[in-house]
Parts: sequence; structure tokens; C-alpha cells
Amino acid sequence: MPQQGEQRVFVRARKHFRPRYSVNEARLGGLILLALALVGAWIAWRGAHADPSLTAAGPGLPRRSAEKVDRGPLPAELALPGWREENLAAFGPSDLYVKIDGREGYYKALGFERLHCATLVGPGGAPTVDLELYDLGRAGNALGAASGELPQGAQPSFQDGSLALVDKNALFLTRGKFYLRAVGSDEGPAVRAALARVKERFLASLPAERMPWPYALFGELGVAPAKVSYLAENAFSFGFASNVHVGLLPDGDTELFVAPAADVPRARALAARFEKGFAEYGEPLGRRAGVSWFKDRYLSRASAAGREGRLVFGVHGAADEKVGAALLGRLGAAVRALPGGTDFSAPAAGAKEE
Amino acid sequence: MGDDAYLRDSRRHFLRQAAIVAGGAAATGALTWALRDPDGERGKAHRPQIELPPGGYAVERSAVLPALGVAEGQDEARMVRAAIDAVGGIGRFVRPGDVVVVKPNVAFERSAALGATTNPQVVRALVALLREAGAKQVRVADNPIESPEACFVRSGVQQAALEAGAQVVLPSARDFDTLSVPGATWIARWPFFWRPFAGATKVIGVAPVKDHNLCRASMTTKNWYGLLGGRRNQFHQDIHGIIADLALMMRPTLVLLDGTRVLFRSGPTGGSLADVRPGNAVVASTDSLAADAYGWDELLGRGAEPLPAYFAKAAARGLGNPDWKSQVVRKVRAG
Amino acid sequence: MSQVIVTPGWVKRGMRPNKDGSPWWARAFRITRIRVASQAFFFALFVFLLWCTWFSRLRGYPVSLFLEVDPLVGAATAISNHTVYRWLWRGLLVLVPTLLLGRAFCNWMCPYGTLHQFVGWLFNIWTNRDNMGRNRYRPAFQIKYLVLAVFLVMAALGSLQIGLLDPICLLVRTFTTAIAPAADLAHANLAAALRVRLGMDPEPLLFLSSAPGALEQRVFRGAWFVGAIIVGLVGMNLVIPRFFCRVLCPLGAFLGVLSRFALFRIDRDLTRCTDCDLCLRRCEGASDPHQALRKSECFVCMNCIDDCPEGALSFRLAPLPVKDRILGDLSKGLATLFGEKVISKVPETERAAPAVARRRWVFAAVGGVLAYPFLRLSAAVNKRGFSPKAIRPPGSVEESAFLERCIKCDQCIRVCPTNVLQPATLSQAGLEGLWTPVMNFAIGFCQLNCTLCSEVCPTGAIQKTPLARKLGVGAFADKGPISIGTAFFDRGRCLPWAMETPCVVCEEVCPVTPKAIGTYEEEITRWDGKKVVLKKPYLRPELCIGCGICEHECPVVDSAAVYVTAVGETRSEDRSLLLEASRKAKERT
Repeated sequence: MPQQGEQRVFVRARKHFRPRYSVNEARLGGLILLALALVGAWIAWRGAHADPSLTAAGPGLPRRSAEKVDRGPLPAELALPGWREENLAAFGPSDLYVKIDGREGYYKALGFERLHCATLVGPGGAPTVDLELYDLGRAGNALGAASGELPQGAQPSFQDGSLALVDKNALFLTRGKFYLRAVGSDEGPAVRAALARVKERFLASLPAERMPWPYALFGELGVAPAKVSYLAENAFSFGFASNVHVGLLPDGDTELFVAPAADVPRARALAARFEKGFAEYGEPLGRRAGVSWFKDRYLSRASAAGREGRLVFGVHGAADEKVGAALLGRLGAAVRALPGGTDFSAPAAGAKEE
Repeated sequence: MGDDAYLRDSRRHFLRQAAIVAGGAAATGALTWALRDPDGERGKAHRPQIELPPGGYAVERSAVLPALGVAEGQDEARMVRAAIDAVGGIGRFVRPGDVVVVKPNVAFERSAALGATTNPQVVRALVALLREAGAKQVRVADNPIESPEACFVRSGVQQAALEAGAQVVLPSARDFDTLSVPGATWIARWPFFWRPFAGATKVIGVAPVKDHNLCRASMTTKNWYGLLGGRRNQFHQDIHGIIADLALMMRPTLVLLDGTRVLFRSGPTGGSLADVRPGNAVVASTDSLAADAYGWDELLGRGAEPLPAYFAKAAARGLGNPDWKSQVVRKVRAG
Repeated sequence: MSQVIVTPGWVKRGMRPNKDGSPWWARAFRITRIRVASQAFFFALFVFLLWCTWFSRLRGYPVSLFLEVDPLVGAATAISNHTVYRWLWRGLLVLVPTLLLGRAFCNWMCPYGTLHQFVGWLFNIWTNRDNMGRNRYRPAFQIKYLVLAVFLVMAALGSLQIGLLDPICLLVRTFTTAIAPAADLAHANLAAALRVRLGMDPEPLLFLSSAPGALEQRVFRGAWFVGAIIVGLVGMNLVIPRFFCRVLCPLGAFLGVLSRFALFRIDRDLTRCTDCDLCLRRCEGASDPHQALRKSECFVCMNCIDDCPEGALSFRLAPLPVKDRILGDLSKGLATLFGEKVISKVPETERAAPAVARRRWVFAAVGGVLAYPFLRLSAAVNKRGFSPKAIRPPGSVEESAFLERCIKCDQCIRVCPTNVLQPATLSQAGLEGLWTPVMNFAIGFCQLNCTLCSEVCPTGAIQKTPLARKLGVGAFADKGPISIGTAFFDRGRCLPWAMETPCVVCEEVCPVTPKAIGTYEEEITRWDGKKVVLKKPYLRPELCIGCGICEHECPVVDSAAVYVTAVGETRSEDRSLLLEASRKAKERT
């Protein structure tokens, strides 16, 4: 018996010893192969249907959680129908850095008081519009902040004391002491519509305020809002020159200035000191437009100061006395045209200085 | 078996054995001689060293064409074309058959809207323009800070490049060899991402306008950072010196400054739309310093501050002229 | 029929009808052939899914499928945390067929079983008679049941250890930490050789790489150990065939316990069986088909059917145990069964339950009860002694819950694009947390916009985490971002702080906005009397998410001057750092 088995076992060619095969077994095998093919097909189908969120280039807007805040001056019903408002938050000077890193100094230098933000989210989570409303204390600061962030060469519109610009996916707006930035996640018509709505709501709800007189005054003469500054003291390196409003003309050299004095005699004295100050640094160029002109001996530019009531005004650094006199004439006319009752008191602390 | 036969066979046996021993000994000796290294010098690793072509990839300077071409508008494709047209047109830079390396800034895994990476639409427009000009091959390559695949995918640059007909070259460990940059202060010898440059004839950088925490602004010159490997994190010890070296290392055919978006704060990583504002401009130049200086003044809007120190360092080496205002600038509206 | 077609000889031979008159395809497609096809299919699928476990290949593939259909994973996690996470119900796809067919999984689907069988087949240098001896049942095969009992008792107590030996976990881990990086190394060398020596474009070879687009060769802590284990276990096939499956496999034991109820089994026809024992020649499970079939050991490989020269073996629905129906004296050869002559001398045909004495079960359970405190109280994982560098991936549940769920399969480690996720070593996480995922920022960093690890985790140790949740934006804005730790500065090693050298790479790469790393500008008088302005970094802990890119990019590479530890992680109240964070965590719960 074992001998027999040995012979049968050690036949090299035989891989198995089965005497009978079953047709049904093979058919079952076919079914199993079919099932495997189905598994393979299912895997392939799953593979072809990826979860888009894994590779999507979502805008990703990290936000810190914030306490439930009052809306502050944010107008109600900012969002278009179908849009919703999210991430309402407010920041003060002590925690502004949480919201804005690295650039909080910019707003703080402009008298930052409070930042209110919100996100408008479109139907289905996209697109989004980020709102940042800065309370900068004074209209001058708001204008300064806006003009520093406007795209280069942009032509904002001035109306009703507000500056406004819609550019691509962004809205820049000032109204009174408020400065609003609204940036959309894309440039599509939905975002543009949302921005238009935002602009309209803010213009309607924020208190209108007359543009501060230096901006109006200098703006008429072609000075950009960003180039209007207030020098509390030591204007043009003159120890006596305090409380001076300066506007730099686009040529980058010529400055117009207005210095309110307490009363007319003091104004007269201040005007005389300006004249003396210019004379100290330069050569006399004679009189034009009723005032004496002096050429700065270092800069070779012409300067002079005049007076209207208790306002001292002047031109500093004009190309020559001819151009200067023309400017001074226009400035004088503008000063004279200032509405009565304008408040010439010095701006509050935190004003922009450059 | 007779004695003679025995002796003959045993002699043969001995001779065969002796031949094997002698042959083995001789072969071992010869091998030892061939591998000799008496002072240990031969055994040290010798990394292959590579050089970029003398004069870099720059085209001939032109005395008549503007130094800067600035296109302002909304439509990236038109702006790219208009900006390049303003400095002589794509035909001046790329001839049919050229193999062009395009170097965008894809350093971070961020979506394009966040402004930390080159706008994919600008890359798409540039690649399409290059293909149109007859470039045989366009290779888009960068060595990002975060994982390359994810950066290229999430920034959208990969899709834009592939769709426009370019190849995307992602770096891997074997793609870096030591580049020699004669005259460089720090990177005279440094690992360089050479693979896209094998056989390349033209190089075009296309960089976004970004605030930068350390070097203050990252634009087309700083963009070459992404061609280096090795211990890049040492660069920050003299970032301005490094950027001046980068300008020396790479003399590009052309640089494009992608000012469609400006990351004006929280750079170079950004991460919030609040850090980005529209710039609506594309600048083309053969002089990366001039282009960057324009970006600093006009796009970042920091003209009131002095230029970052690397401008002066690079300019002192004659690598460009940051004083763009003294040169011819052609500004066009596009789209 | 055309005369031109020439049929090769082997095809002609293959298509000859069988001696029993059945058509050729009944032989060609016999069940063992189908079984081999199934094994090849599932092994290929297993490798393919692991290959797909990578950012650019992932798409929608169910890459953790094998872990999900592993019923031991589902059962043990259900025992430890009383839930069945996400796709783990798929374990029923294996569990139900087991109740029907027995341990078919082991020899039809399990990729690890296939590997062992293949290696055993390849290196089988023994004669048939030797093989018949090697495939007999041994008492040592009980060990797997004891292992299973220990693991399940520990799971019930809250420490999930099945991953140490579960074959799918073990194989995924081995591929991740040992085989895939070796393939990458081979690919890199091959591609370089092709490019340098032959000047060819190696791009088509990229499929060989397990991590295309990875800048550096991927490395894994303790890969040598994992590699040594698989070499040892596979090598054991030369000593005991299918050593792992028969002796150690807790999944096999689990299925074995279930398969005692299986409706189908191999049945031996006593009226045909000549007791030649040839059925043992290739018996994979060592289940004694030549006498009383050990149902719990049988892998349903069907080799015995192929090897029975008498056709006495078949796979049948609910065969009757016939011992009591035999009439007449078996030893004299006069016995009959339902009127037919019984040839075999062995009347038993079935032994359903595992051959483990009840006291041994008790012994194993007691072992599990004892092992739990030994592991848990060894200070490696409890809140008083957990390693500060044991930083869990974002989305992980709190540590004790983590240890109830993590099966050490290392899928998260496989998919991690930056290589920052590493299998924990004994010193980091103790035996209890061995091979669980922790971050090593010397190797990589946690990429801000990446949630892949949470996507592939089969058991919810890392919960599926939408990107918005990780970043704390959109609907999750009130929860804030997920923090996995907090960065610290070592001012004694930091270049600006200690060495008057400019640096602040850390600030540049900090990905959160606003940045968690800021700088002071400070004018100092340097050693040479020169006044220089240095930017010195500092950290705002409330903004830090612990991603570790600062540590990874710090130029002080050996021991970074900014480093992340697990304190401040969002998932743990015990390890919160700031009072504010504690308050928010309490509000959330």
C-alpha cells in the first residue's frame, strides 16, 4: 500500500491528482470572476469621483473667533437677498494685531479707534466679500487711510463729502471718520453687485459729514487727499510755525499751506514772521500778488505768505515767483470762499503727520 | 593506469591549480592597483558641478526700446501681451525652436486669490504666448517651500501651465547639483535645480508683487530663490546679499512682474484676502531691478520709503538699474 | 474553419477533453484556479490602493478599503469605543461570508496570506511526503486564539492593540514604512542611471515611485524594526508553512471562531477515502482534511479537492457528521454507510470549534486584564507622562480616545505629503502607542491646507476634518483653528537672540494670518562696537497652531531654536496652555 502510494505521489508531471472535474464548479468560478470584475469596476468608478475639496483652491479665510459683538456702525441689511453675513467681529487698538498683522501701525498712525469687520457670503458659500470698517476718529484720517490704499492711479469719485472707488473686486469708501474696505473673492458680477449694495447701504446709513476744510480747500487746487497733512509744529523747520495745514501739489515740490491764527493781529504777526523766515533762507525776488517773494538759496524755489482775516496762507517751493503768484492768487480766492463758521481749531491728537 | 599516465595527469592537475592561483593573485593585485588611493583624495565624494551659459539667457540689449513695459487693465492675457509688446514683442525674446524655462513663484500651498503665488492666468497667458512664438518646449518649474505637488495644484499654476501647453517640472532629490556662480558672495557654489535647465535656451521669470517680512519686498529678483536647493534657511542671515547674488546667478531673457494682485502686508505667506488688493498691472522688462523698483514705487506704493538694500547691492554689480524713472517706460492700457 | 490558424501545442494539450469526459474548461477553470485569480486580484488591488494613497493619486479611491473590510478592525474598535466609524460597516462584507463559507477571506482575499502562500510555494523544496508532514495540525496553532483573546480583552478595557498583529494593519504599516521608501530609493537610482548613462527621459518610470513629487527621500523612524518583522515572519514559512496565518494571526483566529458556524465546509466521503493523506500535501490551513476537518483552521483553499485522487473531498452545504450513522465494524472493513461500503478507517469528519481548552481562554483573558494596566500605567501614554514630542495629527481625538481607535496601520503616515508623520517609537509612546502617528518636525511639517491624514484614517482616531474646520473658517469660525501644539523659542540657540545674526526664517514661513511669530526690532551694540538693528522673534501662543514649519525651517538644524511641543493642542483639555483656550474648550463641550 505505501509503495503504491509513493509511485503515485512522485510522478513529477502531475500537479494535482483529481480524477473528475465539474462543469458547475467552473461556471461558479466564472461567476466569481465576474464578481471580482465588478469590484474592480466599483473601485475605478469611485476613483473617478474625487472629493473636490481635497484639491480645491478655496480662498481660505482664516478668522479668529470673536465675541458676539454689536454691529457698531455697520448698517443693517448689508447682504443681498440670498447672501448671508458671517464673522461679525470688532477690534480695538489693543487687539488690532489679531486681525491685521504687520500693518496695524499704518492704521494706528491714522488715529485708529475701532475696526468692525464682517464677511458677506454668497449663495452656496461662494463668492465672499470681506468688509473692514475703520473708525479713524477724523475724516482727514479716513481720507488719508483710503488714499494710501487705493490702487495706483485710481480716480476715486468725490461726492457729498465721501470718497468712493470700485475697482475690480474691491470697494474703497470714506464717509466722515469712517473708512471702508470691501474685498471680494473674485471679480464676477455677483461680487460687483454685492459691492454696489454695500456702497449704497453705507452711503445711506453712515452720517454724512462735510469733508474737512483743508481737503476741500486744497483738493480744489489739485492736491490729492493723501498729500494733505497737518503739521502741529515746526512746519518748514520754522520754530514759530505751528498748527499748519499743508497740501503737496502733484509736481512733488510745491506746497500750499494755511495756518489759522487766533485773531487778526496775531495772524498779521504770523504772516510777517513767515516773510522774515523765508527771507532768512533766501534772496528777495520782489513783490508779486501783493506779497514779497523769496528764493530759497538751497532749493532755488520761490516761497511767500499772505493773509486773509485770521488765516495765514502761502506757497512754499514754487518753481518761480510767477507760478507761485498765480497759485497764491487761486489759494487766496479759495480761502476767501471758505464758508463762514468753519472750525479752524487744531485737529485732535492722532492726526496724520508726514 | 600506468605511472606515466599518472604523472601526466597529476602534472596537468598541478598546472591547472597553479594557473588558477597565479591568475587569481594577479587579478587581485591588478584590481588593488587600479583602486589605489594613497592619500584618501580619490575616495572623497565628487559632486558634479554645473554652470549656466556665460552671459546667462539675456537677449541683446536695445538702445531704442523702452526699459519697462507696463500694461494696466483687467484682462491678464491682454496685459501680458501688451506689456511684452511694449518692450519689443515676444519675437525679440523667443525664437522658434527655443526651449523656455518659465519660473513662477509657487512657494506656498495657497489659492491664487491670496496673492502669495503667481497668478495662474498670467502663467497661462505667458505660456500661450511662448507657444505662439514657436517655443519648442515650455517648462514651468519652481522649488517651493511647502510640498511641491500640493503647491502647484492648489495655486492653480499646474493646471494653467498644462492647459496652455507647458511641461511642469517638479523638483526631486536628484534634480539638484552644485552650480558655480563666479563672483557671488554667498552662493558661489550652491545646489541648483538644474533639471528644467538641461537644454534650455531662454529663461523667463514671472513673479507676484509681495510684501516680505525680511527683505521687505519679494518680486522678480527674489523669485530666483526658488531655483536653489540645499540649506536655503541660512539665506536669511544676509537676505539682501543673497538676493544680489541671485541677480548675479540668473541673467534672464525677460522678467514679468505680475501686479494683477498685490500682497501688501503679511508677506510673503499672506493667507487672508484682506492682505491683498488689486494691482491691475503687468510689467515686462529685461532688467529685474527696474521692474522691481517700479513695483515697489507704483504697485506696493511704498515710493516714500527707500528701496530695500538689495537693489543697491545688485546695481553696484552692474546687474540692472533700479532708477526706473530715469529710463524709458511705456505704459499702455490693455483690456 | 480556416486551415491557416496554427494552434500552439500547449494550447492543444490544454484544450483536450478531460479523462472523465468533462470539457477542457471544467479543468482550466476549476475552483483552485479561480482562487489563485482572486488572490492575485486582491493582492494587486491592495498594492494599487496603497499606491494611490498619495496626494496626486488619491482622487476618489477608497484607499483604506482593506482596513475597512477587516472585520477585526470594526469589531475591536466597536468593543473599545462602542461605535462603528464611517466605513467600518464594510467589515460585514467579510463577516457575513465567513458565517456562510468559513475562513475563505484568508486564502481568497487577504494580501498577507497571499504573500505567505506565494513565498512558501516559491521556496518549497520539499518532497510531497515531507509536505504532507509539514501541513499537519500542531498544538502551537492555538496561540492565535490566545492572542485574539488578549487583544479583545484589552480593547474592552480601552487599549486597542490588534494593530500590532492584525495582518492588514501589519502589511499596510510594512508597505508604508519599509517597502514604499525602498521602492522610492530604487526608482531614484534607476531614474538617475537611465538619465545619466542612457540619456533617456525617466519620466515613464515615475509610476515606480510611491511618493512622486516628494522633494526628499522619505524616511520613517524604526523602519528597520518593521522591516525585520516582515522578513522574519515571511521567512518562517520555510520552517512552518503559513506560520503567521496558522500561529499568530488574530484576524484568522477571529474568523476561525466565527467559521465554526459556517454553513459550507469541506466534506470527506468515507465510502471513497482511502486514507492516503495526499490531501495534506498542499493544505494551507493545516486543517486535517484527511480526518476530522478542523473548520476553524480551514482556509477554504480547496487544494485538498484538487489533490484527492479518489474524488472523496468536496465543498458542500451543511454536510452531515456521519460517525453515528456507520453500521458494522470499521476495523474489519465491514462497515457501511447508507448502504455503501466505508473504506476510510477514520469515521470523524468535522471538528467545528477551535481546539483551545476553556481554561486557556480564561488564561488569555486574564493575560489581557493584566496587560492593560502594565501598558497604560507605564507613563508613556497617560496624561502625566505623555511625551511632549508626541504630537498627534490635526483632527485627532483626545489621547485616551485616540488609543481606543488607532490601529497603527500608518495609512496617515503613508499619505502625509511632507513626511512629518512618523510611527512612534517605544520611547515616545511606549508599547501601547508603538507605531501610532506622531509628528517629527525635523523631517517635515504639517502643511496648512492639507487634511489628507484625516481623510484616510479608517477608524476615526483622526476624525474626518474638512479644511474649513482645520483652519477655523466659514461654518467653523466660532471654533477657531485646530492647534496641534505650541512653538517655543530657545533663545540660547536662536541666531538673532544668541548670536547677533539676522535670521527670522520662522516669521517668514509662519503660515497663519496674522502670523503667530512676530519680531521686535532692537538696536544692539555688537561685539565689534557696531550698532546694528536686529529683528528678534517672539511668539503669540493664541495664534500658534503648532504646524511646526518654523521648527522645520529653522537653520539651527540639529536641535532647532524654535520647536513645537504638544502643549496647547486643541483636542486635549489636560494639555491646554492658555486660560482663554481652556474656557473655549469648555464652552464647546
